[in-house]
Amino acid sequence: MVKIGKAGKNIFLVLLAALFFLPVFMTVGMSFLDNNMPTFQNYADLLFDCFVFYPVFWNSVLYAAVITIIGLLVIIPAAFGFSHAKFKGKGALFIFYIILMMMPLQVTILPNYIGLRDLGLINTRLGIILPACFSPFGVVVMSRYMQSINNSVIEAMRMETNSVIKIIFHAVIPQIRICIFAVVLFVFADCWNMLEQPLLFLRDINLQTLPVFLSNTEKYAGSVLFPAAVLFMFPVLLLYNFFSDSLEKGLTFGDLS
Amino acid sequence: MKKLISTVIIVFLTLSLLSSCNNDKGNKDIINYDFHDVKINFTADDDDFLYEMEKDRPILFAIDNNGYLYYNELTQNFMKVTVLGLDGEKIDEAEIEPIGVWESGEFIPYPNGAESFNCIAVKDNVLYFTDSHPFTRDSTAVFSYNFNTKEQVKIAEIEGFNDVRKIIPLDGKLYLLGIDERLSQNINPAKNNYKGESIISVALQTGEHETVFDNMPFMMAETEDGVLIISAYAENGGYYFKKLNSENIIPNDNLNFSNSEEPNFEMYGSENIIHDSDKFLVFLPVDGNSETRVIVNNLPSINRKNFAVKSGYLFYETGSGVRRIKLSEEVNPAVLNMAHYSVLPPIIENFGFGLTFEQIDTYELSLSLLSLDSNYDMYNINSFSDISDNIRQKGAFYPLNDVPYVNEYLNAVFPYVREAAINEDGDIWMLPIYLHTNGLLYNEKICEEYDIDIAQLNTSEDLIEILATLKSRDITEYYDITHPQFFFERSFYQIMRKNNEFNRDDFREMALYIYDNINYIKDDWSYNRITSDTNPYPLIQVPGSVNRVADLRGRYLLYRRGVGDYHMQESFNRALEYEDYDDDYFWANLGKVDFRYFENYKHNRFILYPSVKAVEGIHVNDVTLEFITVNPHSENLDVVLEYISALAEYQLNLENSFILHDEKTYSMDRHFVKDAYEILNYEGNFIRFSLDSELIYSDFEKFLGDEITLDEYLNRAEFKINAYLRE
Amino acid sequence: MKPTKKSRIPWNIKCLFCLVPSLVGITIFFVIPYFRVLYYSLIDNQFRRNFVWLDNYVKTIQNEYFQLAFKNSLLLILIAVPALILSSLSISLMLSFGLKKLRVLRTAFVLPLVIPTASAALIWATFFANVDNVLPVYLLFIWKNIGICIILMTAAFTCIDDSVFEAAKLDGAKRFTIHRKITIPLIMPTLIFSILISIVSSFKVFKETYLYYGGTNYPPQYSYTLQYYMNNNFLKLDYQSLAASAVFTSLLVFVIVIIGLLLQRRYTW
Repeated sequence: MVKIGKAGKNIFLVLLAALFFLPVFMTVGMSFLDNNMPTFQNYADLLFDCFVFYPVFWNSVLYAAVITIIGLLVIIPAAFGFSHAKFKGKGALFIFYIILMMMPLQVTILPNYIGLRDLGLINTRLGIILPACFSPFGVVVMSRYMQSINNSVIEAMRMETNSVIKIIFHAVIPQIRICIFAVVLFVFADCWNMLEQPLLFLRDINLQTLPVFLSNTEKYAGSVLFPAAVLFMFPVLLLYNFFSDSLEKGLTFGDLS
Repeated sequence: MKKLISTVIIVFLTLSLLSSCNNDKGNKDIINYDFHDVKINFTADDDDFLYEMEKDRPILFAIDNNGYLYYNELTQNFMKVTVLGLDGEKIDEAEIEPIGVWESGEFIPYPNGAESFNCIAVKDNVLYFTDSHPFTRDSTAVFSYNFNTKEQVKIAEIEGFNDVRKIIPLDGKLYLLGIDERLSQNINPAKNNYKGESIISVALQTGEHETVFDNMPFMMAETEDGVLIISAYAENGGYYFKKLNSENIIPNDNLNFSNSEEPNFEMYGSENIIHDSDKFLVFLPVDGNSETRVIVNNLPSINRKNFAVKSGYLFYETGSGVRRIKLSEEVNPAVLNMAHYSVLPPIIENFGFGLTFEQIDTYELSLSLLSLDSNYDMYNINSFSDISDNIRQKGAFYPLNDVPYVNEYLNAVFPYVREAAINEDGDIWMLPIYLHTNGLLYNEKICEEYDIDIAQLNTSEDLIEILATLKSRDITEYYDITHPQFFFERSFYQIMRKNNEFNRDDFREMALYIYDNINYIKDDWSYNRITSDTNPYPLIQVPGSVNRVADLRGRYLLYRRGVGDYHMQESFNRALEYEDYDDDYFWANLGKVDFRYFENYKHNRFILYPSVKAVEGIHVNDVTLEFITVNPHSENLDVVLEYISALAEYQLNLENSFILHDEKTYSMDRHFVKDAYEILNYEGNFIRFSLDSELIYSDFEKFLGDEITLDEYLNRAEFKINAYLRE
Repeated sequence: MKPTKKSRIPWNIKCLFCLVPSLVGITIFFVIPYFRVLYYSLIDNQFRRNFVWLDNYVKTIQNEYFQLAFKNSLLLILIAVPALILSSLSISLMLSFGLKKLRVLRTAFVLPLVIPTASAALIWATFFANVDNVLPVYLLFIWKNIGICIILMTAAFTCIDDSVFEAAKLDGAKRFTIHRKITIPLIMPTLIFSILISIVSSFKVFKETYLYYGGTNYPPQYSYTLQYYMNNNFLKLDYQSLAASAVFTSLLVFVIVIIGLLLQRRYTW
C-alpha cells in the first residue's frame, strides 16, 4: 500500500512537471514553425534581419543585472538594519514598507512619471534602474530571514571589529545565502518582465527592453516573436540553474516520504 | 551541457552588446552650423527693394558677394547680361555670344533663344553658365564670361549630362548639378523624386571634368565659409546632407518639413529654405537642429528656380522685376510637436511652421494628459477613440475662443460639427479638420438597367428586397460587399441614439431581428457573409482588401465606401501602379479632389448607408471627426495658437472641403461631390465620440455564430456598455 | 574582553545607517508618489485642481463597478492565494522529502516564471477557450507563481536541521504528523512571506489576465478586478477614481498585513 502510494505520488509529480513543461515546449516548438513547416527561418529572420533585437536584448540584461546588483547593495544593509537596529517605530516603518510594496502599478505609474520627469530621468536608463533598485520588496523579505539567523556569530564578530560592513559580509551573508539567491532570482525575473515602465518612460527604441519588443505585434511579424520569446527565457533559466546547485546542497535529510 | 549553454549565452550577450554600441554612435556627431549673417552691409535704405526691369522674357539672375545683381535676358540668339548695384543702378552689362548648338565644331545658333539655358552663377565678376543641346539633350557645354576682360570662354563640354540646375564656382573648380543620362535610367519614382542627378566638377583651367558625387543628390549649396554641401536621397527613404569629400553630416530621415513627398526646399549655404504654400518661408539648419525661423510675408508665389538668398536678403522674381527683401530673424524658433493617435500620420499642411509628428497610443496619451506634460504641443485625435470625449469633459484642453479665424471657421462648418466643437461652458475645445462617414456606392447605370429604385434604400429590409429582386432575375454576377460588422454596428449605434444609453429591449429587438432575417455565415476563410432570405443570396466578400472589386471592372451594384476619406489617396496611388486597374476611388484631400478618374465613372453615385432596421424618427448617422486639441501646458503656446489660426484660416478658404457648410464652395456639377455633400449635410448627422465598437459588436458576433445565447449576449453588452459609461 | 578598536559610533546607530540608502530611495521613488496619489484623491479633476476632500472616496465606494472590482480582487486573494500556498507546499514537501531524483523536477515548476506574458496568455487562452468562469484565471495565477513559492519553501526546508527529523523518527512519529507539527511551523516565516509575495503577485497577474481575454478592457464580469477598474479610469482621464481606489486598496492591504503579523506572533518563539 505504501509502495503504491509512493509510486503514485512520484508519477503524479512527474505528470505535473510535464504539464508545466508543456507550454515552454509549445513556445519552443512554435518558434521553429513557419506555416506549419519546421524551419530555422524564424531564427534567421530574428538574428540577422531584425537589428532592433540586439540592443533591446542587451538592455533587458543590463537593466536586470544592474538593478539586481545595486538592489542587493541597498537591500542587504537595509534588511540588516531592520533586523538588528532598535528604534522606535520600527514596526510601523516596516508595515509602511509592506504597504508601499503592494501598490499596484496602475496607480504608481502616473506619480512615478511625474517624479521622474521632474528629475529629468525620462528617456534615460537611470529612470528605469533607480526606482526598481529601491523596491521595498527585497527589504521586507530579507529582513524576515535575517531575524532568524544565528546571532551568536554576529556577537563573536563584534568582539573583533566594529565595522558593520565586515560583519554583514562575513557573518550575515553566508547564513542567508539562500534567501539572497531567492531574492536575486525574483528581482531579476521581475525586472526581466518589466513592460509598462519602459513602454511609458522610454522613448528611444535603443533603450527599450525585450518585453516591449515582444508586445509590439503590429510592427514585427509573429514569426520573429516566437524565437524572441524563446531567447527571452534563457537568461532567467540560466540564473536559476546557477543557484539551484546551492539549493541542492542543503538537502541532506533522508527519505521521509 | 551547462557549460555549453553558458558559453552560447555569453557569446550572444557579447554580440548584442557590440551591436547595440554601434547604434548609439550615429547620433552623436552633429555639427552645428550657425547662420552666418551679413557679410556685406547692404546699404540700401529700404528693407524692401525692387529692381525694376522691363522684361517680357524670362530672366535668370544671380547675386555675387558684393550684392550685385547679375541678370540676363534671353534674347534671340544671344544673351544680354546686366549687372545692377545695390541701389539698382547699372554697373555693367555684356552681350554674350550667341547661344546655340555646337555641332561638329560648328556653332549653330538656336533660333528661339536659349530656353535650354538653365542657370547661371557668378563669382569674382565672372559669370558661369551652361547650355544643353536643345534637341538631343545629351551634352552640356559650360561657359564663362569674364566681366573684367570681357572674354567668353567655353570651358568644357560634358557628354551625357544635361538639365543643369545649379552651378557653384569653388576653389578653381565649377560644380554642376545636373541630370546624368546613365543614372536617369534607373530611377524609381515610387521611392523618391530622384531624377538621375549627379554632381560633376569641372576644372576651370583645363576643362577636365569628373563626377564627384552620384549617390542620389538633388541639391547643393555653398556655405559662407566655402564648403560645398549636398543634399541627397537616402537609400531607405528620407534624405540627408553631406559635405563634399568628407563624412556624412547626419542622416536625417525624420526631418519633416512638410507632408509633400518631394523635399520642397532650397539650400542656401548651410540652411534650408522651405517655402510652403507660398505664404511662409522657413529656415532650417542643415544638421536638423531646427532653430526654425518663420518669416511671415505675403509673398506671391515664388518660382523655385528663380530666387536667391544671400547675406540675409531674399531675392525673387516678380512680374515687374526682381525684388529684394530683408529677412527678419525675430520670429519664433519653436518646432511644434503634434501627437497623433492613429497609425497614419495626419495629412495636415504646416504652413511653414516646423511640425513634427509622433504617434502615440492610448496609454501614452492618457499619461501625457494626466501628467500635464509639455512634451506635445497639440494632439491630433479621431473622435471614435476612447479618449476624445474625456478630454472635453475633464477640461484637458486650451480653449480656442480667442484665436483669430476659429470662430469664423466654426460658423462656416456643418452645424453638427460646430456643436461638437463647443462644450457646455461655451469653450471651443478643438479645431475640426476632417469628416468621415460611410456611404453606399451604387452603379446608377446598372440600377437603371435592371429597374431598381435605389433611392428608396433606407434599411436592410430594402436592401434585401433589392437583392431578392436581383436574384429573381438571375442577376448573380453583382456582389454586394457589405461588411457585416459595419452594417450591424451601425444599427446598434442607431438605437443607442445620441445619448449612448443601453436599452435592453431595444438591443434585444435588434439582435433578434438580425439573427432571424439575415443569414450570417462564418466562412472557412473568415470571409463573413450576410445573406437574405431563406434562399441565401450570397453576399460574398471578395478576397483581398475589403473594398476592392478585383475582377469586376466598374460593374458592381452596391459597394460600401467612405465619404470624405482622405486615406484613400494612398490606395489610389497604389492603384496607379496597375495601369488597367479601373476601380474608382474617391477622396478628398483638403481641397484637392482629383476628378480626373471620376469622369470615367459618371454612373457611380453615393447615398447614405442603410441601417439594418427602421428606427422611429430620423435615422441618426454617425460621423467621425478628426480634430486637433491644444495642450494647455505646451511650452510654445503662442506659436501653437498662431498655427491654429493659420490652419483655421486655411480651412475657411477651401473648396470641396467636405467640412464647410456653404454649398457654393463645392463643385456641385460633379455628381460625386454633390452626393457626398448631401450625405454630410444630412439632418440626422452627429459626431459620435468615444464609443468603442468592441463594446457593441464583439459579443454580438458570437451570438450570431451561436456561440452564446441571446441573454448572455445582452448581459455582456449591458455590463460592458454600462461599465464604460459609469465606471 | 574589550574590542581592540574603540569606535566612537555606537552599534545601534551603525545599524541604523544601514537603512539610509533604502530609506532615501524609498522616499524619492515610493513615498512621494504615494503622497501624490493621496493628494490626487482629494481633488476633483487633474486639470482644475479644486479640493473636494472626501467626495471622491464616497463616489468611489458607491460606484457599483468599484464594488464589483473590489469583490473580485478580494476573491482572488482569498481563494487563489491559499490555493497557491497549499499546492506549492505539498509539491515542495513531495520534492524535498521524496526521491532525490525528483528534485530536478523543481526546474519544471520554475518555468512559468520565465515565459513571457504574451506567450503564457496565448497558451492559456488556447487551452481554456471554452471555459466560462473565473477558474482559468486562478489557475493561471497559481501556475505562474508556484515556482517562486516552491523555491522559497524548498530553500527553507534546507535550513531545518536534520537532527530534528531524526529525533522525530525515533519518537515514532508518522510522516504526516512530522510535517504538520514540525516542518511547517519551522518554516512559518517563509510561509508568511510566501503569502505576502503571492498577494503582491495577485495584483500583477492583471497583465496576463488582460491578454488572456484578448486585450479587451471589459472582461467577463467575474474577472473584472480592481486593476481593470483602475486601468479604464486611467484611460478615461479620471485619475480621481483611481487614486481613491488605490487608497482603499492600501487600506485593505494594511488590514491583511496586520492580520498576518498577528498570526505570525503566535508562531514565533
